[in-house]
Amino acid sequence: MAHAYHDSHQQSFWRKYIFSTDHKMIGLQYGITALCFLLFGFGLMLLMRWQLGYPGEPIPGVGKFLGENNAPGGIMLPEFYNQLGAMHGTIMVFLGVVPILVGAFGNYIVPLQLGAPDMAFPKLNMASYWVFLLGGVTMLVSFFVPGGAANSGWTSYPPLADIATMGQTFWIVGMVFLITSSLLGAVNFIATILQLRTEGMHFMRFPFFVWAQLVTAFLLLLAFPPLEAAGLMQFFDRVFHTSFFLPSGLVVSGEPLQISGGGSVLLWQHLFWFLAHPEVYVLIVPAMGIVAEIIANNIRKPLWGYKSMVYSLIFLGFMSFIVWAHHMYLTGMGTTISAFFQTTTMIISVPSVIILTCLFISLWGGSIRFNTPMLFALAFLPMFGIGGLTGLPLGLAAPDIHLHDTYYVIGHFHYVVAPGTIFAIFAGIYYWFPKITGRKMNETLGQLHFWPSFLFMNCVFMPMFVQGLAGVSRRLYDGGQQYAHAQAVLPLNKMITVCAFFLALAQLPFIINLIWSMFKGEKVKSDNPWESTTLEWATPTPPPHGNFAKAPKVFRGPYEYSVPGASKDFTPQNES
Amino acid sequence: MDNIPYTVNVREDTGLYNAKLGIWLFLASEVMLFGALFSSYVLLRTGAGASWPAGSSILHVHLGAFNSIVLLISSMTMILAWAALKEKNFPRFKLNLGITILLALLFLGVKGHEYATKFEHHLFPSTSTFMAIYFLMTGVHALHIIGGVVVNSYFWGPGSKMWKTDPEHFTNRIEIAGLYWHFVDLVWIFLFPVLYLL
Amino acid sequence: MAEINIKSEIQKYFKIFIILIVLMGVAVGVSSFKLNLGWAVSIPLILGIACVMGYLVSWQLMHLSSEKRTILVILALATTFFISMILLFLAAHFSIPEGAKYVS
Repeated sequence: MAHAYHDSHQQSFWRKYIFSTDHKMIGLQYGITALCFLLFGFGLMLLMRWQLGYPGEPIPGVGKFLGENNAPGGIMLPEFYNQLGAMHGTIMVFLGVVPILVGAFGNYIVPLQLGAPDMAFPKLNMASYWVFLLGGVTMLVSFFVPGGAANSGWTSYPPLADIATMGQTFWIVGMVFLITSSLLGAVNFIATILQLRTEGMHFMRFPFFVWAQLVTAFLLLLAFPPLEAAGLMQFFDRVFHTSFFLPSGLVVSGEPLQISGGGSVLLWQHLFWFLAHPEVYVLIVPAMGIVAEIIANNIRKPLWGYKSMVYSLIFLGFMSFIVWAHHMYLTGMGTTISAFFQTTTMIISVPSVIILTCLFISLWGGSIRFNTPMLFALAFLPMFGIGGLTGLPLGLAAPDIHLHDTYYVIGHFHYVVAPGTIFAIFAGIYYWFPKITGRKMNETLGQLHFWPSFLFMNCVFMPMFVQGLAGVSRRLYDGGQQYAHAQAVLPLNKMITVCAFFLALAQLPFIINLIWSMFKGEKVKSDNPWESTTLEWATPTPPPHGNFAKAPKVFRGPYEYSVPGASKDFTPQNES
Repeated sequence: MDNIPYTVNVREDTGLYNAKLGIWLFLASEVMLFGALFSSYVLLRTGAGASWPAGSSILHVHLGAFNSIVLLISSMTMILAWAALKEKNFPRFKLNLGITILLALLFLGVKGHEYATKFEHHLFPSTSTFMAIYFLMTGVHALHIIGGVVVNSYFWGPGSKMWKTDPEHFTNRIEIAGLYWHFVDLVWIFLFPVLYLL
Repeated sequence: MAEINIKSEIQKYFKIFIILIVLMGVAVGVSSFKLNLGWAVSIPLILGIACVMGYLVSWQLMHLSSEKRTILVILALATTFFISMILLFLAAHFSIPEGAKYVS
C-alpha cells in the first residue's frame, strides 16, 4: 500500500476540470452548481414574497420578463404562484442544500479528514455529479413546458399531482435522476468512510463532520428508494393512466375521471414521507457536523461530550425512519397509531437536544475567536434551537390539528433550514475557503454579510409563527386575504416581504466576497491558517491529486486543543 | 487509475474489499426499493379486499413458473462462472457466463410475450390496480435484468481482458456481478408467488 | 473464501439448486390446489416456501452465512426498516374508521 500518492501524468483540460474523478474537483463542481441553484431558488421566493406583500401589483423589474402565461402585465397569476411554491421547495432542498452539504462539503472534506487519497469509487463519484446536473436541468426545463413547472407543492400529493400539468412529469423524471445521484453518492461515502480511513483513524477519532456524513449517507441510502418507487407509480398514473393513487369515483371539473380507480391517496403520502422525514435530517446533520468543526476550532478546547454526540447522531438516524406519519396526523389515522408516531417523534427530539446542548456547553471556558465562520456557527445554535422547539407542537398530534399546513409550519422548518443549515453552509464556506483556494475571504465583508443576515432571517420567519397561530394556511396565492381569521395578521406580510428583500441585499457582500477573494483575497501564510487539529489542514494548499504525499498516521482524537504540557494550543491528529 | 487501497486485497479490520461493501450497500438500497413496491402491493390489495383478482385467473402461471426455473438455472450458472475463475478455468467461466446471459434474454423474451398477450386481451396497466402493480413490479424487475445483462455482457466481452492482466481483481468483479444477479433472482423468488400464485 | 475447497462448494451449489427447483414445484402445486386447502393455509405455505428459497439463495449462494459483520448489520437495518414499513402502513390503514377510508 506504500505507493506514491502523487499522480504525475498530465491530464487534458476536459479530464482535469470537466470529467474529473478527483473528489476535490467534483466537490467544487457540486458546490458551484448548487450555489447557483440556491440563488435561483432564493429568487423564486422573492417573487412569491412580492405577491404576498403586494398582492395583485405588477412585479417591479422582472415582471415584464416572466411571460404572459405566468404574469400578464407583470401581475402574478395564481397558477404561477403555485409553480414558484413547488419549485422553490424542490430546488432548495434537492438542488441546493443537500448537494452543497453532501456533494460539495462531503466530497471535498471527508477523504481529507480521513487521510484518504480519494473516495472509494472515483468514477462513480463523477457519475453522481453528472446525473445530479441532469436532474437539475430537467427541473429547470420544466418551467418552459406548457402549463409550466410542477405546481402541486414540493410534496406532490395525489390526486392533484396525478392530474396536474406536464411540469409534474418533468418533476418526477428530475427526482428519479436526483435520487439515483444520491444513492450512488451514499454508497461511495459509506464505503470510503469504512474502508479508506487511514492508519490510526479509529471510529472514535473521527471528526464529528465525518460521523455526520456517515449517518447522512445511511439516511440517503435507505430512505430514498421508497420515493423512487412512489415516483414511478405517479409517473405511471400520469402517463399510463393507472390508478395507484386515485380512488374510485373521482370527479374533476364536473366530469368523472375515466380511470380504473381502487388506488390509495395515502399510499403516496406514506411513501413520500418515509423519505422526506429522514430527508430533513439529511438537511440538518451535515450542518451540525460543519458547526461542530468550526466551534471546536474556535474555542481552542475539545468539544464537550463528543461520545454523547456520536451516539445521539446514530440514534437520531435510526429513529428518523419511524416518525414519518407525524406529517399525516390529519389524514384520518386512528388515535393509537397517531400516538405511536407521536411517541417516536418526541423521543427523536432528545438526541437533537443532546447534540445542541453539548455544543453549547463546549463554549463554557473556551478562548473564543469571533471570526466570520464562528459567528455563523454560533448563530446556528439558537436558530436551530428555535426551529427545533417550534417543531414540538407540530410533533404532538393535538396541537398539530390547529397548526398543520399553516404558516407556523413554514416558520418552523425555515428556522431549521435557513438560519440553521444555510448559516452552517456559510460558516463552512468561510472556514474551508483558505484550504481550497489558498486565500482568505475578507473579514469586513464577512461581518457585513453576517449581521444583517442574522437580523433579517429572524424578521422574515418569526412573524410567520404569529400568522400560523392565527390560522393562516400555507400555499395561498393571496396570503389569506379572503379569510376573516387572517385579517389581523395580514399586515405582517408586507413587513416580511420588505425584510426578505433586505435579506437578499445582505447576501451581496457574500457573493462579492466569494468571487473577489478567489482572485484577490489575502494569501494564507500557512497550510493551517486556522490552527486546526484535523487532517484536511495537514495537506498542501490546495491539496494535490492524491491528497497526501504519504498516508498520514493518526495518533489522537480530533479535538486536542489546549492539551496540558503541549508547546502550542493545538495538537494535530497526525502528530505523534 | 488512482491509488485507491483495498480494491483487490481486503482491509484487515473490516475483512472486505471496497467493491464487496459497495455492492452490498447498493443491494440494501434495492431491498428498500422492492420493499416499498411490495409494501404498496400489500396496502393496495388490503384496501381492495375481495375485489382483488387471484393472480392465476389473469396471469399465465406456467409461463411465470417457466421463467422462475430459467432464472434459477441462471443463478446456478452465474455462481459456476465465478467458481470456474476460482479454479483458474477461463473457458468454463466464459461458457457459464454466456449461458447466464442467454437465459436472462430468454426470461426477457418470455416476459415480453406475456406483456404482448396481455395487451392483445386489452389488459393494460390502466385496466385495474392489479394490472398496474403487475406491470410496474415486473417492469422494474425486468429493468434490473436488463442491467444485469449489460454488465454481464461487458464482463463476457471487452471486460474479460482483465483476466490476463489482473486475474484476482477480475474474479472479484465477477463475484460482485454474481451477487447482483442472485439478488435479481431473489426478488423474483418473492415476486412470482406474490403476483402469480396468491 | 478462496481458502475453502471450491469443488465441495460447487457440490453444495448443485444440491441447493435441486432443492430450489423442487420447492418451486411445490409452491406451484399448492397454488393449483389452493381452493381445496383454503387461503388461511395456502398463503402462509406459499410465502413460507418463498422465504425458504430466499434463505437458500441469500444465505448460501450469496455467501451471507460467512459474510462479515458489517454487511450483516447493514442488511439487518434495511430489513428492519422494510418490515416496519409494511407493518406501519397496514396499521395506519386499519386505524382509519370505516367511513373515512379513501380507498374504494
